[in-house]
Amino acid sequence: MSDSILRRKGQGRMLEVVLAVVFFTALIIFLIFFFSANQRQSYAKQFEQSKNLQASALAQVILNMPEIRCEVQNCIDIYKFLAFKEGVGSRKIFYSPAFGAYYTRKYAYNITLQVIYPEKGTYTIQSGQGNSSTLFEFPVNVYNATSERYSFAMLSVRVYQ
Amino acid sequence: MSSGRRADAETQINWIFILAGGAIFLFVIFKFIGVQRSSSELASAAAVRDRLESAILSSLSTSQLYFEDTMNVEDVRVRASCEEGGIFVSEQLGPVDLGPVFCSASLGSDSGNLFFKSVRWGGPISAGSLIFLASDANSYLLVSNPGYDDMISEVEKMLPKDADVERVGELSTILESINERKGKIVRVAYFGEEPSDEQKEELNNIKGVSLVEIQPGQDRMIGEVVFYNKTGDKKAVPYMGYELLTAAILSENAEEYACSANKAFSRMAGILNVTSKRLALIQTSSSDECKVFMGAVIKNIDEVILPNYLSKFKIEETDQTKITGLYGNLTQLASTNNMLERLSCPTVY
Repeated sequence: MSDSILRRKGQGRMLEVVLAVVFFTALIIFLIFFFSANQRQSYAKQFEQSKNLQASALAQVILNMPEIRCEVQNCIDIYKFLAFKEGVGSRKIFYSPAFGAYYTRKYAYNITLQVIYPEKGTYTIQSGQGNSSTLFEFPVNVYNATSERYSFAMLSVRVYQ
Repeated sequence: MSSGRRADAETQINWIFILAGGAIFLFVIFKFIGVQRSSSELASAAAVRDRLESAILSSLSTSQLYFEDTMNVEDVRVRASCEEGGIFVSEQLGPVDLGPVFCSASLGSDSGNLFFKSVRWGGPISAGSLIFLASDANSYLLVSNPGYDDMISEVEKMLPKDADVERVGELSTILESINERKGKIVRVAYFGEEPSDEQKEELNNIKGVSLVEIQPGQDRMIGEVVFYNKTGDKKAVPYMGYELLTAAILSENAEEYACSANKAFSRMAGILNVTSKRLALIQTSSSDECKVFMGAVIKNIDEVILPNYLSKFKIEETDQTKITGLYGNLTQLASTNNMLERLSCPTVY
């Protein structure tokens, strides 16, 4: 065999090795990118779920605040709600400790208490507005301390993000 | 000869190409591992944060005085700073502000449990909850004092049930207990007596150990907590109720305790403000007899409690006398509430 044939054969093998390495590298890089994209999607989904969870948490916090809850029974005190509305309107910052995390994350919310039966009335506390919002509605009992009656109502918490 | 050199050169170029490709490949792999690792850490931190927020929600909706939860914080370093905004489960996620939280600054062992406890607070009235956090990395040694047994028992009840708490006696037993807890952050609490100079010197020289001294007033529900630091300086801050007393024992230092306690008092002021406005609304449609008592409550809140005690309240600048005055007025509110209840009038809260 002549030198030139041997050299060409060697170069051919070298080329094969190089091509194989390039192919496998490309394959692994492609797999990594595919996996990362998949993971990114899953994290984005988790983040969205977490945002919804936090919005729902804010709604729960509002529902359970001693500022508006009845002291003993599981209900909303209508006069506390009205007093809170007055207070929170004039001194919004004052209530930041009540909202903790939710306030510092700059959530805005609208709370609407719609008293349905037997008494009627709609009362709203608004802290601001945002681009997107999530609405949570809870059926609640409302206590009127002057008439000493309980009414059925819907408490809607719209959380703006 | 010349064609042989060209072949050598081509072979070398191919090897350089393989090396460069390999380097890029390794870079991508390591980068990928790094990104994966930080993503997984972030996901764990987010899970701990969600768990903490769920615990807060559960504590809000329970009718019990206490709510407890234990959460695993493996691989998550938890640190707390009231001044910086709350609990940090990850620097990337920012602080979780859970309101008045009392705990050691570092709650992290790399693997371990975080003990969560919420306690209703407000003395005679209900003014929200205090949040207590402890971890496997923290220990609390309560120094026995026969005259203060009832007080120590109350504190034991208030501390998270899974936290490492032990009653200790003389200095030798304190040192023995500390030796058994090597690597832990230990808080030693003295009740009703100042630690001796020997005790202060011995304990201050041990890494991770800090001292507090509880100095109750005539009514033990009110008093001062003295925080000692390593340099020998001390700072006294008042407490109101066994809840805040326990909170002080759990706190990192006087500043952190004061910061969180101020949040709790601010919440109390907010609730009293709502209470007064609510009574003003109800008063107009109540009987004359009820009006008298309601008027007295409104006057007490608007003219005494809020302006004299809770306006621009800072516990670190408040003395025991003022806290006693506040507690007395809150007790009066509670007794008026009982009176209104007996008269079948709308109650204060």
